[in-house]
Amino acid sequence: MNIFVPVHSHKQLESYSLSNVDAVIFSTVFCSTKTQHPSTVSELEILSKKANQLHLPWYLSINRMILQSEWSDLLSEILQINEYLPTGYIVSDLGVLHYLKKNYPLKTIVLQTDTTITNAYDVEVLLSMGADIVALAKELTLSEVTQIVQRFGSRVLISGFGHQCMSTSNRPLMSNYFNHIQKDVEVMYKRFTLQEEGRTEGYYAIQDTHGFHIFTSSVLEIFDEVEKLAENGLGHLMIDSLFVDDDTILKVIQAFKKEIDIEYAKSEISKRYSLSKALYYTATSAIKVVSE
Amino acid sequence: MIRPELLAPAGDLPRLKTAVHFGADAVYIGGKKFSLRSRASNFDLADIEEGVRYAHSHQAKLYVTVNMIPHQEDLQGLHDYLRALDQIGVDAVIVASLYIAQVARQISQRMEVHLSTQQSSANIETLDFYKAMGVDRVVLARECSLEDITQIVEGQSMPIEVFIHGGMCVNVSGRCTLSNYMTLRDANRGGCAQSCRWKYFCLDENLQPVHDENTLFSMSSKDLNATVVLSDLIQRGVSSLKIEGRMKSEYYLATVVGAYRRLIDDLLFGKDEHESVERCNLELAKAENRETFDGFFLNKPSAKGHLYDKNGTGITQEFLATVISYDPLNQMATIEVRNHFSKGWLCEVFGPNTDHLQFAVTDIINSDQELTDRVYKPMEIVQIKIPFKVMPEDFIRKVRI
Repeated sequence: MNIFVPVHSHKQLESYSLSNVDAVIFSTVFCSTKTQHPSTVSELEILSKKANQLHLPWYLSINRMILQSEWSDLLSEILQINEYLPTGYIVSDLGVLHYLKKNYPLKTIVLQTDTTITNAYDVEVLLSMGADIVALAKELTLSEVTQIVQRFGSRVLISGFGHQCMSTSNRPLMSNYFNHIQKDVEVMYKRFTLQEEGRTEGYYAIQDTHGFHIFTSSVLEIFDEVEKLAENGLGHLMIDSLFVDDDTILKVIQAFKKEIDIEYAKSEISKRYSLSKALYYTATSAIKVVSE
Repeated sequence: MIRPELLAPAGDLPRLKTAVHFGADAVYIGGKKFSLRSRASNFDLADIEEGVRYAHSHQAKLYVTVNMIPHQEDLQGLHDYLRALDQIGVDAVIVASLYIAQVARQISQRMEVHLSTQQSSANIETLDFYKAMGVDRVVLARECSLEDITQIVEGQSMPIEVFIHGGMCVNVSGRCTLSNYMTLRDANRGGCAQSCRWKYFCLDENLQPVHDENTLFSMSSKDLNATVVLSDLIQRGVSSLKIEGRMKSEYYLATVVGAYRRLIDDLLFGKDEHESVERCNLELAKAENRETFDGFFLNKPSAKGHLYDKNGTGITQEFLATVISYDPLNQMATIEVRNHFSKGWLCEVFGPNTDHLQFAVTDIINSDQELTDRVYKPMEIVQIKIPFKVMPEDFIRKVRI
């Protein structure tokens, strides 16, 4: 099972490499969202050289919808970044998938839409249309994930750890709000916490150059479940490092690699973070019934 | 300019007929299966068949939404359902799952496959991808600007559909699980709880409050209103102009569809754009229960595209009755009551061929054939004096003074 981890600095790159992660994910200001530390293309060039020296496979995250008016800028950036020899790309826009597969057929393309890949038939269609690996929707239950993994496990990626993205907007919602209440607050790439009036949990949120994203209050942890999914053939696992410190991510990698005891890892991590199973055991099929 | 399709929603047969009557070229509805908007009054197959008959007999088309993002358990019966829709004569299915798109294409070469906005299509390459799958039309992401739309229409050959009016997801369509996490309801399977419209405290990185106690953070979007860019959309060759709102009332549909029908026709006939848009907006305001703005067409939405203080979901009571028949000799109209009204009220009649004529209520005869000053029973058939000719299926509303 391959473990993917986002990386934002040289220090992380070296320590993750020593921990034997199977691939790292880089982000850029233009291509990527849901990160607090995207690189410039120049910074990416340096990071990628280091990754290549370490023989560490690396992917560029293009995890957002690309508008037609942005398309030529995207192609220019891909053209340049491709010279840095990425292993592949993680994309959420089917047009980007289509383009990359036509023009860079040897690159591995991971399709990660967050929500829309919810059944084995859709997985089959997407694999047949050019995706090499598909990331399953985060609202699936463990039972649903297992069914899909049993059929397509070697080409499936799931989220195994981290704050889960609950929503993505193309609007600058946080700066809009502060403009409305006429308050001068720096928002770009800053972490905010949203707490609904009637609830106690707070949801992390960030605004970047492309929009606004909200994340779960607790951190997903499925060490035990992943062990069983791996037995069923799960091929790829994502550890999301957003809002999580480096030491914790190293422990998470070590736990998934079985280099440290899982119970010990859980115990240590839970001292810093509230852990949960997200929706893996909670079917979200309830609907509001309204009398006619 | 090519005449675009005006595409309207309908939650049930009466609303479907209203949409067609007021000028929709096509209507989209949800079936009992595989559709979002679980609260909408969805159609069973017999209703869909009647809807197809009605639409086709009025030179309109009928599309059925099969637009849930299905989990494995939801897919049982899909083939039979799509075959039935094809046999009934449905003109197109609107799908979000690529698997459903593929099955629909395999089952029928006649019935078109339209790809829902839930897939957030925003560039030519994506449309080329869907075209290769056999998709006939794509509903663009609401995040597309006029510039994006122009480039997409010019750069590829598939017909495109654009939302022009109604509610907007503040998040990228289909990529939101706020409801899942906060209410255990799956937005992509019709259970959206609109958690984005709730109020939130906002804390900074040090967990210190940065919100205004009187105006909490909210993501509640104003509704879309594309009247200011409608002429551009038509000139650029958009194939279908879509109104949102399968859960909206008959009155809302009559007003909004009628207003856009007239605006499109005025623009195609070369009438003054400014005047036509202004008249359309005056008409739309009579049915809106939420403020509107122009979405992403001209700019990324600013604070002016949001509702921070109120959600504006109040129900309008302006709609009073529909006309059943008219006796020109006695100037008496037989009408079906929807909301209460009284003698002396100033009212307005509107319909596809009745041009917003006003009258004061004078004589009212209730269903017991008695003269009365006030009616208040919904669906009661009464007679009122109207001093000009009105047509069956015209609507009567109160005039705001």
